[in-house]
Amino acid sequence: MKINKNSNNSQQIQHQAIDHAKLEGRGGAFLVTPVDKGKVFSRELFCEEHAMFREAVVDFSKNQIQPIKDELNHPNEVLTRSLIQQMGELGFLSTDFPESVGGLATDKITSIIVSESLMEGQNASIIVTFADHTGIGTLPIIWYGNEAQKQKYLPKLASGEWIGSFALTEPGAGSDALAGTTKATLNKEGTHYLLNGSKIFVTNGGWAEVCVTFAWVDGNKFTAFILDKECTGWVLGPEEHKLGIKGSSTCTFFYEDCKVPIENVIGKVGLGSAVAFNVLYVGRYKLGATTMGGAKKIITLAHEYATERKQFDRPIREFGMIRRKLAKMMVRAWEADTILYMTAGSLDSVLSNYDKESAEYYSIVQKTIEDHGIEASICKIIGSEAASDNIDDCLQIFGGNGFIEDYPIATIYRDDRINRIFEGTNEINRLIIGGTLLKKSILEDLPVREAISNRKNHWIPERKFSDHNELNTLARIIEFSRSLLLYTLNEGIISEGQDLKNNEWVLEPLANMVISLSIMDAGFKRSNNLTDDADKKHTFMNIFSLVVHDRFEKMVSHSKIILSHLDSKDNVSERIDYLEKKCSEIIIRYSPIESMEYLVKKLDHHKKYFLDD
Amino acid sequence: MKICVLMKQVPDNDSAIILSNDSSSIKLNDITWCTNESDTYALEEALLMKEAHGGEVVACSFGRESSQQVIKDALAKGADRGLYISEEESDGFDILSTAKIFTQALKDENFDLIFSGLQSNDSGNAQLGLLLAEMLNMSHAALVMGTEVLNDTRIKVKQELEGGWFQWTELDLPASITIQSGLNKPRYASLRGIMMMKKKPIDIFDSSQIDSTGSKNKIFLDKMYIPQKVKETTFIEGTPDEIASKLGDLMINDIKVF
Repeated sequence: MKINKNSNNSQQIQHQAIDHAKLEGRGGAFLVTPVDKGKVFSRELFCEEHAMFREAVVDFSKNQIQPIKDELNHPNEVLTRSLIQQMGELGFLSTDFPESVGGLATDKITSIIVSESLMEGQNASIIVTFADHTGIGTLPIIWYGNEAQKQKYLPKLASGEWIGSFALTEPGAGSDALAGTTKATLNKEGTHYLLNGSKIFVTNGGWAEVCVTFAWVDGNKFTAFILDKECTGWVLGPEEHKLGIKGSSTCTFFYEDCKVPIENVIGKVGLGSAVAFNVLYVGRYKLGATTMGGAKKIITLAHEYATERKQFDRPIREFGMIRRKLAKMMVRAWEADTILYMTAGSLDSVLSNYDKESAEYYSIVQKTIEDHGIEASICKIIGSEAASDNIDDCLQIFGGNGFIEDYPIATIYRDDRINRIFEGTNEINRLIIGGTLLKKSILEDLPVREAISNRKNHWIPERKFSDHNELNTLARIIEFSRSLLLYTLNEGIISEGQDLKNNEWVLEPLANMVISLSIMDAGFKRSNNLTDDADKKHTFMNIFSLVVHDRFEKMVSHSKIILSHLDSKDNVSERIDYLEKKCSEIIIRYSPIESMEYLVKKLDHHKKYFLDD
Repeated sequence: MKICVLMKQVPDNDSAIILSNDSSSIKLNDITWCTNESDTYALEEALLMKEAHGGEVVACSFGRESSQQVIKDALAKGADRGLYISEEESDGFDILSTAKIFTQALKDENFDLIFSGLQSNDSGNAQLGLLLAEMLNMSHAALVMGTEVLNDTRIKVKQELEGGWFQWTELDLPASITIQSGLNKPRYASLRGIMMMKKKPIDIFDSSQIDSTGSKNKIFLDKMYIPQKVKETTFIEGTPDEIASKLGDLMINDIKVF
């Protein structure tokens, strides 16, 4: 797919038609779809049901979780089970479950709404228990289980009577999940597999009645199994002493000739890696949802403290450095919100065309979610980093008090740290973004080659993107950024070839560029979903201007890192020179302080993240 | 048992209340709305009664278009049908005029019971249930803390009196009963309940088409204001015994916490 780097003569390059309508619902479509060609889902398009789902979960979280949030920071199986069962009764556990086993089979947007809204309870431990149960703990059975397995396990997992878990990680197999050594041997009667080995860091481990786990059959067939309490030889290790989320259960499992009936193989022998990796995609975007909820919620705490705390006879929220922090917190939360609902909407735009009760439905779900691997990883990274950056800023606003356990932020700080580690570390997720981008480009799964070609001499297409002047200016910056990414990607492939996929020095900034472009692109398309409310439009323009200018600077900076490395390797300076020339052609006149002050004034009025209403 | 629950949409407790420039109303733009608290207990009591004795629960609200949300919330929790009386200017009706509108809308339904919250969190009249009992010729009990259906024609209710006393009373049906908060545990809307809500009917009455002869206001709003917060600190001085004695005196006679 290389574009000849010497073919700079624009007359030699013919415009390659891209069928943008065909790309709707495709993972990674944002890479090649200009801002005026596609559409995205955002919360402005919530239907009445979505809004009521949100209210219902918020109502429950505020009244049933929030009042006992401190108690939930200590392991308490009885209390946790009681909450999980209440969530089961209300349907919170079964949004992804088929109707045939008592599930609700809602759209993916609803799953995100439920996960996000549970953060109103302000307790991370119960969220982790919930997320593990509804995500990786049950999805393998929903997607890959046969009818008998579904009927046996899913009704009790949907009601919360049973708690689910997922055991993949081993002492020598973390990010490299297939490096595990747990073995499964068929007994001589051919009725059971005997599992031997161990699994570590099993969330819900101490409480779960059901566990999806993995082992090698015949040494070369990675296979998924369902364990239940009738499987002898499933030995529970002690609870881990964790840095945070101390109210959740995390254990080691030992399999000592653990006797698993052959009926408990998920899918078929040898299908384990597909089971493991596909459900992790979902785990990722759902983690993006809970962390996005946390990133919003923490703003209330930061603002409340900044209002109460007085220094030099003034509330510290009046000081510019504090106000900048508050503004940035809102921007990060808005970015996460935009990307999460864009992704869920894209999944639903595909899945809504299929009958949920049909035999092939869950195989289509898997394929669609796998196709959105880039988006799932972006959701995880953006959500978890918005949460951790916001929580860090909140702690800084608390000053010395933030370092004292008597104040709430210390616990939150510890609880949050895991989010950048589990469900695939953020490093692994950046690797997935970079790797998938290369794969989709080289295999021409997306028309990246055409897009590179079209943008070679026209970094900003000559047309009006919006009737709104300010939006049109932002659109030009976004299209420049899209061309910048395509140029950088192409140069990387030309210079490194297949080796690029193993060069993490380059893949990390490349992934960061993809993340930034996805946010800018989805943000612009979100503007089409706004109502005529002038105040909301004005607020949108302020926050979106901040997003675009900040992300643009980051993209240029990451591109420079890559291009200067390629130049240095090839002992030239042409790429960096070309980038400098291109950047000089786009003039940015923007003062972010006014936009930030506008947002924080609104925050002063609402006293919470207000961009959801 | 055919039960009507009157439900009002009121500003959420966390909403910032901002007065209009002439102090005659509150600005609605930034208000977050919710169901009046005691009405949610009234709904729960009606749903429990339906579950125990069968029948129908109808959620009824009067007000601007957004008021339909409280009906929808009730349908999601298990009410069978909605009855919405549309009136964009409902805030301008005094309580007697409001009761006359309700009477017109409800009179042909022949409810066995009308439940309403004790009072609304915004205007706080606490009169609607009583007025409806009079206008629809029903029995009435206020401040109800418990209910017990005796048979198809009688109900027993536990009423809250002053000084921590309660009284059980028997009433003939039909009856209009106002419910005190706290007598039960209102349920949450389940996701399935919300999905079912769409299939339940909401009948709409346009209040302008209701014969409201004589429903002219007799009470007029003069001015609204936000109470000023006043902080008053008294320092008690003396020996520890003197301080304890003076503090006890203050608490008993001035602050009257005992």
